[in-house]
Amino acid sequence: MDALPTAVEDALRAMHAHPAVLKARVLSVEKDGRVIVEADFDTNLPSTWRAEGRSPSGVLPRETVQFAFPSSYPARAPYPTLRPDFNTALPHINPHRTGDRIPPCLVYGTLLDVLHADGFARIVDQTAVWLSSAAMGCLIDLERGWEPCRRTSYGGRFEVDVHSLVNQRPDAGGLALFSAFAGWVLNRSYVTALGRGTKVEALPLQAPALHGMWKSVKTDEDIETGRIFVAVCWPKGPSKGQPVIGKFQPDTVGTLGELLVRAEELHCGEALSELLNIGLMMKGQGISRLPPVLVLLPIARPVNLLGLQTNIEMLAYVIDIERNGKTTNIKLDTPVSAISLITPISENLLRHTSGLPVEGAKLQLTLLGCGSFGSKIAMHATRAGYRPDLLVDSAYSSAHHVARHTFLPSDTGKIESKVEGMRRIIDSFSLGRPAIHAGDIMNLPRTLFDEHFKGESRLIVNTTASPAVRDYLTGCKFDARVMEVCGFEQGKCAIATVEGANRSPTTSDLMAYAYEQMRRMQAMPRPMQERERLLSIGVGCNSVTLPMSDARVSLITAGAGQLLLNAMANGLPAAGRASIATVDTDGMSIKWETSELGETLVVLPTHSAPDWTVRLLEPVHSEITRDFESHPHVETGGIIVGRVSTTSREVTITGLLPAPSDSIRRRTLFVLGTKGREESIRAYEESAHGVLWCLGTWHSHLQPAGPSHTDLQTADNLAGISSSVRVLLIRRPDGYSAVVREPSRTTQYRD
Amino acid sequence: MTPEIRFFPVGNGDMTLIRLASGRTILIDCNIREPGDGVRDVVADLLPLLKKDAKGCPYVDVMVLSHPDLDHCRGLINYFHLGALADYDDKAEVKKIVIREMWSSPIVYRRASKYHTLSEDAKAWNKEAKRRVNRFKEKKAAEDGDRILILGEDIDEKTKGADALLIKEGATINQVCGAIEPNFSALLLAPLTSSDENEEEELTKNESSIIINYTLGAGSKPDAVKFLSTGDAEVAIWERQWARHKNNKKALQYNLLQTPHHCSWHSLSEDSWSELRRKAKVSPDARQALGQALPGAQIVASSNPIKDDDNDPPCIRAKEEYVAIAEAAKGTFWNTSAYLSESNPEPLIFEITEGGLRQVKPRSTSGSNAGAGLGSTPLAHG
Repeated sequence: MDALPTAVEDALRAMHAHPAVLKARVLSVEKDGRVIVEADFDTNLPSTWRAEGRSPSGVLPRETVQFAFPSSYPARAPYPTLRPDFNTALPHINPHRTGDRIPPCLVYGTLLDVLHADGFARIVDQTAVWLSSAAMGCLIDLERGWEPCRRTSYGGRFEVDVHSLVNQRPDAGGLALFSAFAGWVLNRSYVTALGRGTKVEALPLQAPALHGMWKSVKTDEDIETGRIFVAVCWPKGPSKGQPVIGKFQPDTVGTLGELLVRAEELHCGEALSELLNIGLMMKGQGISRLPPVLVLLPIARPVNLLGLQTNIEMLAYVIDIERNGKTTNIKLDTPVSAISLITPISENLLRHTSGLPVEGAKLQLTLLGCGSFGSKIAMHATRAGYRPDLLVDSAYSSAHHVARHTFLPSDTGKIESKVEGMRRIIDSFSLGRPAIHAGDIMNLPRTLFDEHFKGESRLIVNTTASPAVRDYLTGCKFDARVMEVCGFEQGKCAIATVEGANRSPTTSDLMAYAYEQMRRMQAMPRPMQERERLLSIGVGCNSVTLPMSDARVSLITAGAGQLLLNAMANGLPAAGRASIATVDTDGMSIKWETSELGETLVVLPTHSAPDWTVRLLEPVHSEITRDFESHPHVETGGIIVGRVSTTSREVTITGLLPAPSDSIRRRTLFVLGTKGREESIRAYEESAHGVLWCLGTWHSHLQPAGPSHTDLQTADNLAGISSSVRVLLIRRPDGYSAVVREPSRTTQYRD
Repeated sequence: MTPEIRFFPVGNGDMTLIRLASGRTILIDCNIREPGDGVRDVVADLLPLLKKDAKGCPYVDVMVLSHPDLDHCRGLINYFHLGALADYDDKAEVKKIVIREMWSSPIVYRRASKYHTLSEDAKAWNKEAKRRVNRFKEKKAAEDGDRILILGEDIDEKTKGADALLIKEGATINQVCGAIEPNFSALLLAPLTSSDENEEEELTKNESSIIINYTLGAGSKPDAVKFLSTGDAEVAIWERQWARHKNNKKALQYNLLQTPHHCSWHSLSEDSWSELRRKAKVSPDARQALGQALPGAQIVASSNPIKDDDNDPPCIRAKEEYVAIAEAAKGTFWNTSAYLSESNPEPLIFEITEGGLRQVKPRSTSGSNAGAGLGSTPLAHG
C-alpha cells in the first residue's frame, strides 16, 4: 500500500485518540486516490440492551463506520457511511439508493465546514454522538416536531406553502392537480429555482387548460421556464381516516418504478396512477410535449413537522415523463428526483428567521418619511414580518436615492413617489400592500388619520427629522405613540425616542431631553453647520442632501430597527425613552445610551402672557423635589434651563443649574446669589450651542401658595439672566406655579 | 431530567447520589474527606448538582444513612445543616446542605453502638433523627427539613407514637419527601429483626445496615433499573436474605449492585481472607443473594483500588466473585477508585434509560483533547 496522505494519517490519529473508537484501520486505497478507512465505535448502549446485543432501534454495541477520504481531502470532506443493513427507519439519514451503505447526516450545515472549523476529531466525536443517539432512539425530539425526510442540498427545490396545499385537500382524497410557474434545466431531470411569489393555482382538468401548459414554456439556452403540473397524491378517503405513519424512511426513490412502490407504501398509489393516466390521455390527444410534473406524496405524521403548523409531510419528487423519448408508454425507469420544498415568504417565515416571536405584532405601524432612515427602517420591519400599514412621504424618487435609500437603480427614473416605490418593494414580500399618502403629513386624509392614528396599539415612526412634523405630531390629538429617529452631524450621532404612555413625555419633550443628554455627552451638534454641509444633487432642482454613506446610515438604522422590532414584538413600556447614539472616530463603533423618562408635568402659568405652557420633564421634577425635600424649613431654588417654542408657545425645562454659593435660603425668602452665576450660565449655553439656554429661575414655597408680589417683581427682573422668554417656577408642597414673561411684555400682565 | 445514579470516588467509603426524573435527589451516605493528595473534592462535585430552596440553601430531598460507621457519615457536621431550619446560618461563607428528609434506622444504630464507639458525625445524625422524631410526635406532621422515615422496626418501643414514620422490612417506599414519586420505589430488605438473642448477636456482629432495592423507571419502562444498595452488610445478613427471598428472587434482582462493605470478603464468606487466602470458601447462600444479576448488570465497588494482597476490604477474591457475576450477566464490574484514573478518579455516572444503565462518559474537550486536534472555532455568520 502506498504511503497515506499526511492529512489522512492525521485523521487516523484522531480516530485512535477518541475514547469511543475501539479500532481504526485503512481498508483500501482506491485507484482514484480515495482512502477508505474503517473505525469501530462503541455506541455506549445501556446495560440491558448491551447484554441483549442491540438496541430496539437496531444499533449494535459496536458499529463499524466507513470514512471515504477523497483524494482532495482535506479540501473536500470525508464521506461517512454505515453498514448497508443499518436501520434506515431513523431520522437524520441522508438520501441514498437501496442497497448502498447508509450515509448518516452527522451535522447541521456541511461536514467540510466542521472539518475546517474544529478538525477531523470533531467529526469523529459527532459520529460517536450520532451512533449513541441512534441507539437511544433520540436522534430527534418528537416534542419539538417531526424531522422531515432529508434532501440533498444540491437537489431541486420548489417554493410552496404546504399549509395551503393541505387546506385544498379534496374531501375524498385522491389526486389534486395544480399548476405553478417554474424553471428547470434541460438535459437534467430535476427542477430548480421555482416560482418565487407565484401562487400555486388549481388546474381544471380540461383539455384547453392542459394544452395551454406547454405553450407557456420558454427556453433560454439550457434553462426552460413555464407552468408545470403540481400533483398532490392524497390517499383515498377523508382526511380523518388518513393513516398516520410514524416510521422514518430515508428517500431511496430514483425512478418512476420506485416512486410507484413508495406511493403504494404510503397509500398514495391510486392517485399517482391517476396522474400517470392523465399523462397518457394527453399523449392520446396529440399533445406532443409535457412539462415536468411535481409529485407530492402527503404523509400524515404523529406530530406537527418542525417549524410548521401541520402534521402533513409532503414528499416531493419531480419527473419528466417526456425527457427520455416520445413513446406513449411511460417507462418505469424514467428518472425521478427528490426535491426540497421551501416555505415561501410569509410573516411567520420572516419572524421565525429573524428570531422573533411568530405571534402577531403588538402594534400597527405607520412610517412618516421614506428617506435614508425611513426606507431602511421600513425594510428592517418588513424583513422581520412587520409590514408598515401606512407610508407617508411627499417626495418623488430620484437618482441619488440609490446611494442610501432601499431603492435599486431600477426603482428610480420613474414618475413615482417614494411611497409608491416603497409600497412596491414591500408588496413584493407578499405580506399585503401598505396604504400610502404621497404628501405632507399635515394633509393626511381624515380616513387615513382615523385608521392609523387612533388607538393605543398604533405606532407612528417619524424619520422626517422635521421640526414642523414633530411640532404637528406633538400638538395633534391622537392615541398612537410616536417614535422618532434622526441623525446629526452626518451620522456622527443620532437620537431615537419613544413617547411614554398616554403620549407623555411627548416626542418634543423627548427631543428636548435628548438635546440635554447630548450636551452632557459633549455631542451637541452645531445647528448652523448642517446647512454648510449640504450637497446639491442637481441643477435648479432645489434638491439638497447630506453627504453620508449608506454604511453610516445603516449603523444608526440598525439600532433604531432593533428598537422598533422589540416594540412590535413586545409592545411599548409605560415610560418614555430617549436613546443617544454616538459613532466613534474609527467610524465603525457606535454606542447607544438610553434614559427612561416618566410623565412630563404640565404647569399652566399665572400672571403671564396668554396661552403659554410650561413643561417640566420628569428628571428635572425629580431633581427639584430632591432639593425641596432636603430643605424642609427654608426656601431653596436655582436656575432653570431648556428650550422655548414660540410657535407652540411652550417652554420645556430640561435641566437645572445649581444656585450660586452666595444664595440666601430663609423661611420665607430665597435670594439667588450672583457669585459665579454669569459664568455658570455662559458655560452652559456655550456647551449647548444655542439649542438650550437659561430660561429663568425656580424656588420653593413652604406653603401651598402661588407667586407673591416679590415673585412677580423678580419675574419682571429676570431679563438680567435671560434675554428671551423668561420663566419663574415655584415648587409648592402641592405642585408647581409658573410665571412666564415675554421680552416685549415684561410688565403688562399683572392680576 | 434524565434520572441518574452517581458514585463519588471516596475511597473505602460510600457516597452515592440518585437524581430522579423529577429532579429530586437521594443521597446515600457520605464520606467527605479533606481534599488534596489524591482525595477528590466531592463537595465541589456534589453542590452544583443540588437544587436550592427559596433562601438559596442547597438541599437534598432525602439522605439515607445505611449505618453509622465513619466512612459512611464523615463530613456530616461540617457540610450538612443539623437542627431546625429556623436555625440555618444563611450568612455562612459555605452554605450547608439541608436534608429535607432523613431515612434512618434506630435498630442499625443500636447494633452499631454495641461494639463500636460512634463518631461525632454518627452521633450528630442520631441526635438530629431523634429531634425530628420528637418533633413529629409533638406536631403530628412534618415540613421539609424536619421530615424523617424510620427504616426497620426495633425490638423495644422506641418508635412508639411515630408509627406513621415507620417503614417495616419488606415494605416499599413510594414517596420522596412527602410526595408520590413517579417511576420510583424503594423496597426495604434490611435491617432484619431477630427472632432471639443469638440471632440478634449475629446480626449485630455482621454490620447491620439498611439494604434497599431501588426500582427506577425511565420512559415507558417503570422498572428500567433496579439498584441494590447494600451498606456494609456482611455474610450472615446475605445468607438470611437468600433464605427469605430465594422463592421470590425479584426482591434481590438488580441491574446495579453496590458491592457490600467496599468489596469485602466478609460479605461473601465466613472465612478470614488474610488467614486462608485462596482456601477461603464462599458462602453459597450469600453468593446467591448477591448474584441475582439481571442482563447487563453493573457492579460497583465503592472502595480503594483493589489489589491482590491481604487487605480486606477491598478484597481481590471478592472482586473476582463479582466480576464472575457481572460477566455471566454480560455486565461490567467497576471500582470507584480506579474509574478513568487511579490518581484522580472521576465520579462514575449512569443514566437511567429504558435500556438500562447508560454510562455517562466525559465528553472530549478542547483542553483535554488538544493532542487529537479537537479544538474549537467560534461560529461566525455572514
